Amino acid sequence: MYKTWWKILCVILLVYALVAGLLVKVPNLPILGETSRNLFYHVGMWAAMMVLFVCSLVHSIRYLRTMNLKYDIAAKNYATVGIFFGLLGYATGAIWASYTWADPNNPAFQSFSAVAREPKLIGTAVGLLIYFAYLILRDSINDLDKRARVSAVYNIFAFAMLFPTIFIVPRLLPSLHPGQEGNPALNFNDVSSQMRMVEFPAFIGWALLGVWIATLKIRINLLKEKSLLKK
Amino acid sequence: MKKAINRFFAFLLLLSSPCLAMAQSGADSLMRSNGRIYVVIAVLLVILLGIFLYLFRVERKLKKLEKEHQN
Repeated sequence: MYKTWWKILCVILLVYALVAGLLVKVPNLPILGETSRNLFYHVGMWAAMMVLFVCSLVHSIRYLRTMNLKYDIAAKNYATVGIFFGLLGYATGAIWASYTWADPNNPAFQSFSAVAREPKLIGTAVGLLIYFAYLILRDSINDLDKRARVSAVYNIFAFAMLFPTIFIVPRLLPSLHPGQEGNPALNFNDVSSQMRMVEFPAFIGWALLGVWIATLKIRINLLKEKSLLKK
Repeated sequence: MKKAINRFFAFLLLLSSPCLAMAQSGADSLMRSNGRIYVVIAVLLVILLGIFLYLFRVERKLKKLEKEHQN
């Protein structure tokens, strides 16, 4: 949390992801065209979100094992930054979809009704809303220890709910989103090897950026709540 | 006072960056090749580096605060 080397690694990886991501040769697929470069940025947001939610889960479990309030602060901030990255993923996905899924020959509302039925979109919306509820639940309990305990338990369930909502259900239904038969972007058959050279460094870089922002927030909160933690 | 002067020079540097960029432009320079994609890369790099600089500054301020609280 206080070390510098991984922050410099994050800078290097993201600068590499940006420069190489725009210069690497991508296969010219129908419809997708050059937009497949979004793989490094749009999917990177989801990768960062998952890493942050896993961190949040780990700190919730650590809180329940030790009852130390500092883990509760960590769990909350990892979840907040995770939600932020999820929203960025959603917004970038909306831009990408409107130029690949929406049919330019149809009126906009017809295309919208097809895209809005996308199980992937509904699933991630449900998953993110469950995490919103985590933040609301926290703020609705005044007693500190009770808040920490209840929200830590809720956080574990929220993480468990991510699997059906974003991994399982969208795969059982027909979808326009790529990767119906496996993990989109992680499957070795649907990403060219040159793109993979950029993809994984980019994912690690985005995840590190998320963790970096989260640790800054955690440290601010730790300073604020210092008098509480001393007791 | 020193801070203000530093800020003033940083601001001047920012204002002069278009001149710096234009100084090295030829008809077939790197920046104009490949459909001028390098211009996009330069813009994105400036944004990204700006965010990193900001994060490192927050980090430095936090470190100071943490030290003060320890005493």
